Amino acid sequence: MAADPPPRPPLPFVAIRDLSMEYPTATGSILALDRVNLEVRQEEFFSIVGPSGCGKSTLLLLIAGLVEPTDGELLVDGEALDGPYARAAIVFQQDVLLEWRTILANVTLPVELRRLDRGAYQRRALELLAAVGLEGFEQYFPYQLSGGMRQRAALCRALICDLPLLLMDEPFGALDALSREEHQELLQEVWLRHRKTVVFVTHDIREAILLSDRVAIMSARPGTIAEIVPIDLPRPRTREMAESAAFNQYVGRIRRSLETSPAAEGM
Amino acid sequence: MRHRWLLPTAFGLLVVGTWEAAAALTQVSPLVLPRPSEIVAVAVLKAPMFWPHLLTTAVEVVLGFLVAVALGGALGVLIASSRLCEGALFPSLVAAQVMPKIAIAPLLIVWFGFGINSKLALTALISFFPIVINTIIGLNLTRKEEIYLFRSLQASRFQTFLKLRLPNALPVFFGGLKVAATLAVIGAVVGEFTGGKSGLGYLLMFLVGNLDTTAAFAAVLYLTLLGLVVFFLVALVERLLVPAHMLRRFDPQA
Repeated sequence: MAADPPPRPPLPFVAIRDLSMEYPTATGSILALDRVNLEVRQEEFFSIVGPSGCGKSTLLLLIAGLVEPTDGELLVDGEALDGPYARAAIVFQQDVLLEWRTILANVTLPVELRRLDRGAYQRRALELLAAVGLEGFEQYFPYQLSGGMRQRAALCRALICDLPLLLMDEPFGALDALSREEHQELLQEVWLRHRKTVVFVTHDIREAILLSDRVAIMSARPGTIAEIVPIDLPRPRTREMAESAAFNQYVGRIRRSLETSPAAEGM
Repeated sequence: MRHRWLLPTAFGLLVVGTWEAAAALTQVSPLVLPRPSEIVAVAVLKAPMFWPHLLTTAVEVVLGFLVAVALGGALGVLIASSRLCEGALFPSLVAAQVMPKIAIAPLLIVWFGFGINSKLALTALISFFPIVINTIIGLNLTRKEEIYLFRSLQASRFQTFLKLRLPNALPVFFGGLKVAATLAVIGAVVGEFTGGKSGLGYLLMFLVGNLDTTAAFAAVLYLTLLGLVVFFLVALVERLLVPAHMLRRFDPQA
């Protein structure tokens, strides 16, 4: 009896082939990214780890369609980008909240700009804020909130339209270590509930392992992908798991990969 | 917050009191330096004489200021939105500003006549530059990440202007308006000096010519009050349009 053919794997959500990015400068040009190749699968939590200045933020901006590559191919959801990708939500390292708007008005900003009915999304906004622990702060202004609270509000803003792609550029980089841990747990919780494709940029190896299905390791500038490490740990991942031998093996492996990648000074 | 008025009032009274005492003690002639008490007396008792002139100047100041806001704001937006416009317009703008307006005031009389139009033109010309500059500075305060955010949210250029660049620019913009408000009074008075038939500036020249120094000072007092009112109206609009925390990001005393 013939076996059924194995099911074809779903198309990757983000497909990058030989992507390069060169910036003109006063003294010539800088090659920020050099033939990057990677794929992000649907509903995968994909991290990119690398030293400062390796181009990982640039890569994220390229995926978002905010910057155009100088060479190579970039497909999101099967199509080449023609400007900012409409179905992606971005979280930056600085929360980029609008200071003159209340927290609630900040969270509903995407709705407003897309000219959707703000009233209909109001309830969703309130639910999201409550889910991240900001209930009661809807009418506050950003300056009244701590950095961690502001970043959580920015996360709510990214989730309000329920877009399939979530791009995060070192979102917890500006937080203190304790806040960072809390936010990592929160993010994992949110992602398990609202399965999205996440591309997460960080310089924190442990954070990447804790949150991701796969971790891409980027070399220093010009950035390329040195290695992609699948993380085979059960979910949900906990603090205790982060102390386990398996976890630390991944840490060691990724760190070694970072240290031996070409031009790895500065790490 | 009631106590906020205590300090400036006390200081003002100190200055006026010193002035009054000095004038009384040194027996200086009122033609040279009148006493504050007499200035106020003339201002109050001869109010019917001052009133129509105050009205004339007030109209010139307010209308001229509004023209300056419209013109200055529009030019500022244009220059901040387009490198082309910036390159073409900004140098000419600076040159026009550097040219002394007092020198071209007679020319404005020739062009616009002796009526209110020349005063409006002069007022608007003198007060619109701080508005342009501050509009440009304010609009250019937008940060790269904020622009990225709006682009990623598929915002149109107009939306980005209305909901990001404009609100972000308001504190600096109103700073420009406040400076412009004080300049507007100067503009109106200079216009009247040059070729006026009425107004506090015209009246001032007339009174000085008659050596009625006390009444001239009273005219200056009225002009000062006019300037204060315009300034405070601008501050009031600012309070309505700009959240307080945008104007003062931290309190040095707290």
